[in-house]
Amino acid sequence: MPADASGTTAAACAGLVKIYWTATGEVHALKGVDADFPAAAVSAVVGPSGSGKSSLLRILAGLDRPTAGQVTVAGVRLSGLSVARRRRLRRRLLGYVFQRPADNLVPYLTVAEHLELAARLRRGRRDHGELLELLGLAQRRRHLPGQLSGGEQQRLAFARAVVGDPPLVVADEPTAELDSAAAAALLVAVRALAGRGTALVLATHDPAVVRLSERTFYLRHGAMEAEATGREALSVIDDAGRVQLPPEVLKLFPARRARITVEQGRVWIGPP
Amino acid sequence: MSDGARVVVEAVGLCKSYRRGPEEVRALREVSLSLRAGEVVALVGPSGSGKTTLVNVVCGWELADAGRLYWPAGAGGRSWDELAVVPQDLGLVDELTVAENVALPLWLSGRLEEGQAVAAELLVRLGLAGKADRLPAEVSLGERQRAALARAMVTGPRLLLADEPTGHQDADWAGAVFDAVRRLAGAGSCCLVATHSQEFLARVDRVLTLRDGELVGAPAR
Repeated sequence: MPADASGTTAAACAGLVKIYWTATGEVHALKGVDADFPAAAVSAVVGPSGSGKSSLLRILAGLDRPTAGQVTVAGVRLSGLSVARRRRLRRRLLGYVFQRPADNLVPYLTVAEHLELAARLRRGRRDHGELLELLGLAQRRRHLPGQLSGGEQQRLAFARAVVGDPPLVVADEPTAELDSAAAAALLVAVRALAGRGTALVLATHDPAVVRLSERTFYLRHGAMEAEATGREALSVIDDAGRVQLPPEVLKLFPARRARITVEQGRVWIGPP
Repeated sequence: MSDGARVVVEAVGLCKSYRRGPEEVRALREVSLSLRAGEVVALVGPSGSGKTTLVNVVCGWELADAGRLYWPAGAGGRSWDELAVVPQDLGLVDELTVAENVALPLWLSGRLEEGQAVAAELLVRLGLAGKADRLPAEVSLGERQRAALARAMVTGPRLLLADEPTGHQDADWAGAVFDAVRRLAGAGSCCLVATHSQEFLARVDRVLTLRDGELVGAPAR
């Protein structure tokens, strides 16, 4: 990892815009998103379906390119690179875990072979005993994915993603297809992995994931509504001065017009 | 192939059920079969007849509820020389190029150098030489399917299991896929191929038909 200002930030998004062109017109999935994901910590990205979570994660993981804006991972800018160079960087810097356990694994490779493959791709360490122990897979080395439970498969997906200690691993709803016991075991493992130095960014609907996260990003309508560190959630103000009002507050403004007054350093927003 | 050819794997009384919602599906009912070196065997049957389950049980990806598999020559289908599979969803590694995917079994079993020529030849025969440096996502579905076949063949496994390997091929490439399978069998492997393709069926040594999870024997040919 380059020793620059990114020491405490694993990945940064600046002004991310993503537009998809569909048969029925343009879909603006991300409308200028800024976010800094802390290094060696778990971050959650939450928001209703269609809020842009998956678009954000795919861009962060280098699987998709933004229509506009910048992504920087471990101080390296992903945008504007050649295809070959982006591919090499993605291998070295990024891990990705899909929602469906089966999508993350190769059916004919054993647990040990998955990690061996990942180690070769990242030129990482070849001794995975400690990692398998940490994820409760030590007795499963010679098993194929089809012989593992859903929870074990997903823990293996994370193990594969963190081999070689990449600065960033991104996971799209990794607990969505697990029962609550398997999800809890996965989250214990995720927490332990962050302790080894990798930043984990998880898109989720699962309150348990949010509880264990050091930072939570709230997306709505393709924009960052709020960011929480610990218990307090703070609204995000973008560069153009826009703030998203929470849905319950929006009801107070049926005409969609507000009067803003500033009084002794505080800003009041009320219906006209 | 002679009747005296070496048995590669023998299955006796395989049963497998699973739940689909409230319903219990009996995917395999007492399936017994014996596969021999050098033969190309087609596995046919309507969708849902148990073809994929049989392939998955033989390769060990799913465990049978009852019944046994015997591997007279080996360690139960767990080595790269013994068994290779072309699954329906292909099982390519997204981060590896086509050529790297094909060479993956060589790489993991530590014989990349000795197998390099075989890998290169498979790439040419299956029309992938010009796409060798692309990622799976950057080639067509038909090309991905042929890459998965090349990857399965690269170690010359004693048993090749392929689930619908011509499902995404046009007539010319389906012919090339069959030729590659036939060539592997010619070198002493057994190939069990789940297929709907009439062209394929016309050229195999033997046909096994599954209906509702039961093997109903070879139709008159």
